Amino acid sequence: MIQIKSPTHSQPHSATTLAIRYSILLLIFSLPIFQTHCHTLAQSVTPTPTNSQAPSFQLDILPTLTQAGCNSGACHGAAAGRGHFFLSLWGSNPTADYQQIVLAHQSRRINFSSPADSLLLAKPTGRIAHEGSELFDPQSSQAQLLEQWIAHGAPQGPPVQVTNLTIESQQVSPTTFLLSTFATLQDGQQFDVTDRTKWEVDPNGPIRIENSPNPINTAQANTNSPIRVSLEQPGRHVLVARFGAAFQAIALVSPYDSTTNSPPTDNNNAATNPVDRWINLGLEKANLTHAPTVDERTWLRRVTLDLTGKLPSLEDITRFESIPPETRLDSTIDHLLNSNDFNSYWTFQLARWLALRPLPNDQASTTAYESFLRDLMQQRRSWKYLAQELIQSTGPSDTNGAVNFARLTGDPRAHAEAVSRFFIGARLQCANCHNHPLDQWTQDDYHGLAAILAGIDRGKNVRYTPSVRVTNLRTNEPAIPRIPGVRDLPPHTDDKSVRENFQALSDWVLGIESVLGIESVLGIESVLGIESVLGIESLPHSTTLPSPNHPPFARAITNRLWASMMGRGLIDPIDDLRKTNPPSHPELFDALTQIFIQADYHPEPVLRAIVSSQTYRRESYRIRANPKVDPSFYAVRIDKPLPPEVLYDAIQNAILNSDPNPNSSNTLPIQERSTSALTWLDPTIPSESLDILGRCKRSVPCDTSSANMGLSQQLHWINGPVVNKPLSDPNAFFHQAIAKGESNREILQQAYLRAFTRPIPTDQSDHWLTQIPTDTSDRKHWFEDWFWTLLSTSEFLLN
Amino acid sequence: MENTAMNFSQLLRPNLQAFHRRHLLQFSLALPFASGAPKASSSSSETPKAFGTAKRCILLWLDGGPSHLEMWDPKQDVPIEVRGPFSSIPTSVPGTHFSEHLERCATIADRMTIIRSMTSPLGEHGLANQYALTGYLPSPNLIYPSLGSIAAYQSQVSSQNRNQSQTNAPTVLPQSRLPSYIGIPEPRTGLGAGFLGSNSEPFWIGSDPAQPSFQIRDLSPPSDFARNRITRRRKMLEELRKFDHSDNTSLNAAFELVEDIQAKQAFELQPETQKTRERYGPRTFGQSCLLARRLIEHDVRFVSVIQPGWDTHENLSVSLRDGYSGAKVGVGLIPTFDQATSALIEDLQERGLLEETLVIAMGEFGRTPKLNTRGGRDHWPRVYSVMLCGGGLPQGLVFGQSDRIGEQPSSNPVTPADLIHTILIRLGIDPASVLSTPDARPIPINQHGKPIDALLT
Repeated sequence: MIQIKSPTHSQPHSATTLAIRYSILLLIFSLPIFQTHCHTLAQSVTPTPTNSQAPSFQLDILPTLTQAGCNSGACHGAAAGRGHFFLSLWGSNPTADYQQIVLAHQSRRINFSSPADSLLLAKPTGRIAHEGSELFDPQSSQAQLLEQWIAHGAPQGPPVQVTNLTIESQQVSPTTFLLSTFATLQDGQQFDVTDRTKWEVDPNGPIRIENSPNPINTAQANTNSPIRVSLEQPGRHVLVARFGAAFQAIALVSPYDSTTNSPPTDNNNAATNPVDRWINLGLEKANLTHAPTVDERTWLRRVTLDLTGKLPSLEDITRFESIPPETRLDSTIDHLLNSNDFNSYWTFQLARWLALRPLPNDQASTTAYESFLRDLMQQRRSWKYLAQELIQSTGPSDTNGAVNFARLTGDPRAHAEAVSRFFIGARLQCANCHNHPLDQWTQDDYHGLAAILAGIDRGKNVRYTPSVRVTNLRTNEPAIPRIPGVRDLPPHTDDKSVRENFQALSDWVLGIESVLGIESVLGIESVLGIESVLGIESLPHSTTLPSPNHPPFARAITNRLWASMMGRGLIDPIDDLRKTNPPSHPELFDALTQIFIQADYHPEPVLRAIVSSQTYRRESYRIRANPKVDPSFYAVRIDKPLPPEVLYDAIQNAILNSDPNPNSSNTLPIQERSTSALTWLDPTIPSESLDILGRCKRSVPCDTSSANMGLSQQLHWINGPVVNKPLSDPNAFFHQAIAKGESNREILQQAYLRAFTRPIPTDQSDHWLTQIPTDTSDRKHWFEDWFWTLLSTSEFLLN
Repeated sequence: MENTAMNFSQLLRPNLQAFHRRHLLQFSLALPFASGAPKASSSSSETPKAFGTAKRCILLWLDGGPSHLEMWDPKQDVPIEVRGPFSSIPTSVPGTHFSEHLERCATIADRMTIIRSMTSPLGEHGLANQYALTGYLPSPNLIYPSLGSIAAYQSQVSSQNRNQSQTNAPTVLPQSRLPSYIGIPEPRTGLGAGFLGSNSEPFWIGSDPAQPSFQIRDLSPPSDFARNRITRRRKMLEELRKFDHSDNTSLNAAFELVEDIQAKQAFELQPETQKTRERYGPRTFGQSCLLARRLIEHDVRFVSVIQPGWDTHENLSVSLRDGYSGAKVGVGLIPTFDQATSALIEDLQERGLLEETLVIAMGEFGRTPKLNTRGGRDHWPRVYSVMLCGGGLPQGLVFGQSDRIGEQPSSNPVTPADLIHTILIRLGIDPASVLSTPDARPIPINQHGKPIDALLT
């Protein structure tokens, strides 16, 4: 049981008055807040409780209910409650919970004269029929704790805030860990709370909790022993701990049983490249070896596709060979990063991430939005500018393209979701109806963000307006503008107050100023001179930013950049950055984010760090399939299917010498003729082939989506025009080569360079040469069919 | 994963084949039919008699949440805001009433099983349809396979096992080239393969069977293509693979379908008489049901037919009955459904297919017991109804009840997990058998469901 020092701990169950709360807070803040705490201190600072003290409502009772699952989303924590008993999700709103548990219905859930007969005890112990079944034994420590609390008059106790929950882990064998949890209060006090921590374990997963948590200490001294967790499968596994509404995730790594173990070999680069350093460390921990390095041509194809969305042309290959070997790779990276193809590919990437799509009957605005992104990349402006413009821009939508980000969202809540997805990399929408069950976001965060974004008129001339309100579904009151997870903002009263709030939002995603808890209803932070102050109004909310405190936008973009190069996010899925979904390599994620920030939000240095690493040069899964090894260790290169637009261009560029002949009767529609699919930022430009290949229409975001096709694309690949049309085009390289009288061997050679960037092995050209017919028409058809097979290989289709 | 990922090449994913083989092993151990006899299962009470009586399945997916009160579970002696705008009619099962607009279904109620006590905690479309179709509460970490994909996966595995065991047999029956899971007409979320991967995804028709020009695109090579060129490409691909062993593109399923003229006829509606086509109704849903029947005749294991538009938050008499305001003859969702579904069931029966074909009509949840102020009903998962027919299921059974106003189950509550569990048994799939995720986590096909004994006798 936890006690916190307070003059009101034995206050009976009366609603605490504001005046009393003031005094509590002042008392709390007078404690040595800057004292350094470490876990060894934790046990000694815990007061030894005695029977005479009441258990704490917030630190004992609510966590017990969380541990038993009473306030989970499936039970009384649901927005609609259960059986007319409404609890806040995981006990996130102690005031409301106290009201429900103790005061509601004339205190019918509490029996003060006979505590053991209270409904609060009779239901979960199964003495009265309970739809949620029997949760604990009447003799259990949980039951005793509840009874003891009621016997003391069911006091509400002082408001307390768990500012941090930490998990300490000790690996006692390769597959076994001892875990303890510690809660830190706002005054810096730290407690071992292992006994009332709820561990969330997927029953189908490989994590086993071997000893059940200790009985909750009621009267005895605090002698928490850690829980013992074993991992039934090798690899990285995430475990979530909850203490009341506070939660924390920890990733546990159990080594693979590798028979060919040898430490990672490319440590030379590790000293300078953070990617290799942290990836190699992860491999060592997991007892994994990495795949060998690929040859230079394979690397050239890989890096050209990843940085520019294009296959290397024959000229690119010649240029590459002309560079001295010692500077070849670095110089190629520089060349690619500075190319126009880089600009157009990352314009396309941004359009896709932002779900750019046309506004109905408003081509001018769509064009302006496209131009805004094109100009940004061509002028290589900072993506900080991108964020500021997308959030804060106002003006006519056909000249100021950035305002169309807001216009495409339609309403404040959709706008809030789009902002959280792109700028924070988080899925805030859960917090529309209830506090996010897996993250720190509260309903106040969600509706508060929507309340800021309500301050914009999404008409053709976008402007600030203070007149629109959104309702906070938790309070049914107008939502207070709020920086999610951080602080409330002033209400919108005039255009100026709106502008300031948009500015504050933009500053927050970019980390321009420290906005941590400056606001406080009590205004005592100036007295105490501290930054992190908890106003009463913010007590039910978490005030911690995603840790560490890199700005949200920098984290979200860094993760996207990594995923574009490496096939999966350091946090995966990439739009699901949350506390319970930790990065696979936290230190690497921090280091890369730091590079992005130091480069003033230009993506190139981050991309350079990634593609110049040894990690990036590993052989792929295609070669070294080992499906049992978690790909997020990056022991092996993850093959990425080419995105539809990139694949479409790759087919054209591999086959055709120049643009298809526009006069040819069987050419594709105008948009598909002379230009690259990557330049069609508008996803509604008609192209059946692109649609079948899986182009995202962006009416819903496509950051994550399941592969839902197979046979349709195969049939289209075999019978449809996507490959067959360019193959029969007179500009196909082999048709022109035949016309010029080139030999079959030369054509085979060129084909391999075009499709795979590498020369054809001699045994293969010898093999095929015997099959090629001499009749001109047959010979053309043979090359069409043979080149079709090259494009149908995984070597062509994956990168 | 970043989408845009070209989904085609998902199929070519390297780990798939190795992965698939491993799957196969587990699956064949777990699946009773592989050894020919039902495996005793401690978790369920299936009898050999009920196990595998449904060889094929048609799922009529009523997307958006059909109103139980306007269809299978009308309420009579209740206030008008509960009763709604429609009245009820007796059916061929004495004492059982359907909504008045299910008049044709009412005449064949004695062949159906109606569950009136479905219940789920999930009232949001995306989450609820995952639960309804997979039997698993949605998880942020794993996408579970839907019923159709499980069935498709099972038939792929069993046909491979059969081939392996019959390599020395004198005659091998020709295998169907058709996909084992087909969706009509357009893709919907929730009906996919989840972690089972693209081999078990449905093949979506992608066009409207009610259009005169209806055909499946890309089923045949361009007209100027000599047929041997397709054969040559296939051969070249195999030769190429001898040089590059790491290549594992698989276009075989498509190649086989392209080369199988007979199988492709299953996708054509022209062979059907005008009378048959009219019997199902002229609209997309009716013709989709007709196409489903043709596919079932060609031994396709699982067909999903989507009828969208059941999310009737306002003015439900227009959307459910009329189809458009001022319609003289109702062409709304229910009359369209009624005609197509009754035609499908009767047609299957006349052709002797109903006994081995399970027809399921369901959506993700029901609608609120009280009409809202806009004349519609909102989402209501606490109780709703499902119709099942054929495949050996009891005939004329009404299982479970909702309370007086259709607010919650009053007897025999059935969760989506229970329903999926029961259907799996009927389809000959042991719910306790184990699938493997790409990272080798063992996942039971069904975990939290219990068999509904009344549907398994």
